[in-house]
Amino acid sequence: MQRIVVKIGSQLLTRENGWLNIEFLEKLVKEIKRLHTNKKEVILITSGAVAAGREELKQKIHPGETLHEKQALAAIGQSSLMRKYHHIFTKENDIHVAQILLQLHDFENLDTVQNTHNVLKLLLRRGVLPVVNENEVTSMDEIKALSKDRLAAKIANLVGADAIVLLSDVAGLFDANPHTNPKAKLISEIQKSDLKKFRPKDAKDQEVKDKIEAAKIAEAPIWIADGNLKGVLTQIVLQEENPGTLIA
Amino acid sequence: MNIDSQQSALEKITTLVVLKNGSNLLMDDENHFNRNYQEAIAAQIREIRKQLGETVAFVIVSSGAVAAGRDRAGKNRRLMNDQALAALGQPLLMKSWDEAFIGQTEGEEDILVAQALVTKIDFASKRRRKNIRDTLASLLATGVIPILNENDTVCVEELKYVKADATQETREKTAMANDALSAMVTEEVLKMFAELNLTQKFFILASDVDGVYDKNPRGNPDAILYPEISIAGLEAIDANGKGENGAGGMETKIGAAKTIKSSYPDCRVFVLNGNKPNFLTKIVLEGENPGSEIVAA
Repeated sequence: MQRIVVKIGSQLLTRENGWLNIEFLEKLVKEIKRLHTNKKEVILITSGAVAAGREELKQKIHPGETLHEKQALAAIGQSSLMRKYHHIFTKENDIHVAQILLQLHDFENLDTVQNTHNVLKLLLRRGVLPVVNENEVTSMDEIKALSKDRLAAKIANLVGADAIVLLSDVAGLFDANPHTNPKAKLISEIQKSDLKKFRPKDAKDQEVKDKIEAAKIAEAPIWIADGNLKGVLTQIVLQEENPGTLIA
Repeated sequence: MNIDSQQSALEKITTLVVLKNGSNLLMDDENHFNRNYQEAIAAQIREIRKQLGETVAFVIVSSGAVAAGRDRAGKNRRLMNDQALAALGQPLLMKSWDEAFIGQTEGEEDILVAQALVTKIDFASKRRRKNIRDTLASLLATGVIPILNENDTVCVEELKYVKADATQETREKTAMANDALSAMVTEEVLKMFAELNLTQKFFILASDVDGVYDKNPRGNPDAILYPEISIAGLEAIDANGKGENGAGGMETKIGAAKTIKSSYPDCRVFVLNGNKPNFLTKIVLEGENPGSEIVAA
């Protein structure tokens, strides 16, 4: 696999207090650097703008956060998030980063799609790492309900990626809910055509639903894995191993 | 911040300043990205806040992403189009704004800035406008300065034809788009905050030209600056000065200024040179006119 879209779930980028998990970011950057050294083209789908915004304001996460408060936090945080990426990637690892902010309606307009496609290709060709996020400030959807997994799939289709890697804090897809059922077994491989039949017990699990939705629209195979696993991207991309679930 | 405290914070705001800066202000003579302008603006905003406290709110519309990207790309710049350069440069532009607003002395607080990248479509419906309004309201209530720019990477109309080897004329078209956007943003911001008790509203278009002239000052040393000009006066220039005034993107500034002044006669509109020292404090604190003021009649 040559061109890879990597999506990092917000659980990985957020600490318990709702702030940005910079240690994770640093670990991730090292891994991406390794892929770059091996001439892989990577597009990063990130979240974390709201978390970064909370941290800027030194504001703890609280249950009553409204949508607009989150959007304001995203406006504050998106640039500090990019600053952190810039610091770690460019200053410490000599990889240029570019920011692309999209919302779902951008994919409905053919001209915009063409444009975004051109920009992404150009950046990849120049060895720049595109860091894509939802434009949360203007996005009309509830931030929570909006799936970065789908964004990853759409971007992957747009640039003809060879693989999509979805990293979160669970190891993959399970036959039951691993949080509540200790007997739940990890599914190591599942065909897209079998996804219809895939009905996890806890079908309300939004995360699982998002991943299945993404798989339905994605043209490339999807790897789902635990982002905290050591060397997870190296394993998948360079060693072609499967530490989680492969949706082929 | 909960909704009640947000509302009471918003109600304290009586002065609203919308500042649009052209990308030329963010570059030095050798076209390198330069932070002097941003630092000057930050210092003036700090000064104004010191005097007016929570009663003043700022919105900045900032160009400069492509310029920052071009500078960063170095020898690669010819191989990238302006949209790719904007993607590369926008984070740097924001980083630079953020750093300019960091407290300069012990105990001086940082002023926070927030990035909002918008396109025309974001203002296309009532629901979308309300969405942006509420987000901006949250920011202003917290004392954060929203910095708006066009989302160049996804924006189709304006930058589409700007290739790496674009002519000056094409680049001016890009600048034009951002002036139009600033007018749209200003109009929306004023509309959005119509229910606030604003007693002073300012819309300031800063570029590297001193103001509105009777003809293009570039190439016409006898051009005369209007310290004050009415909407009708602007229209007269507009009508007969296409060719001469076209260069420098001045007609779009005129267009933006006209749009705001005719819809909001109580908003004071200035076209001026952003390199003029303390132009912001002069206007807001001292009631001076460091460029051209657009008046209703």
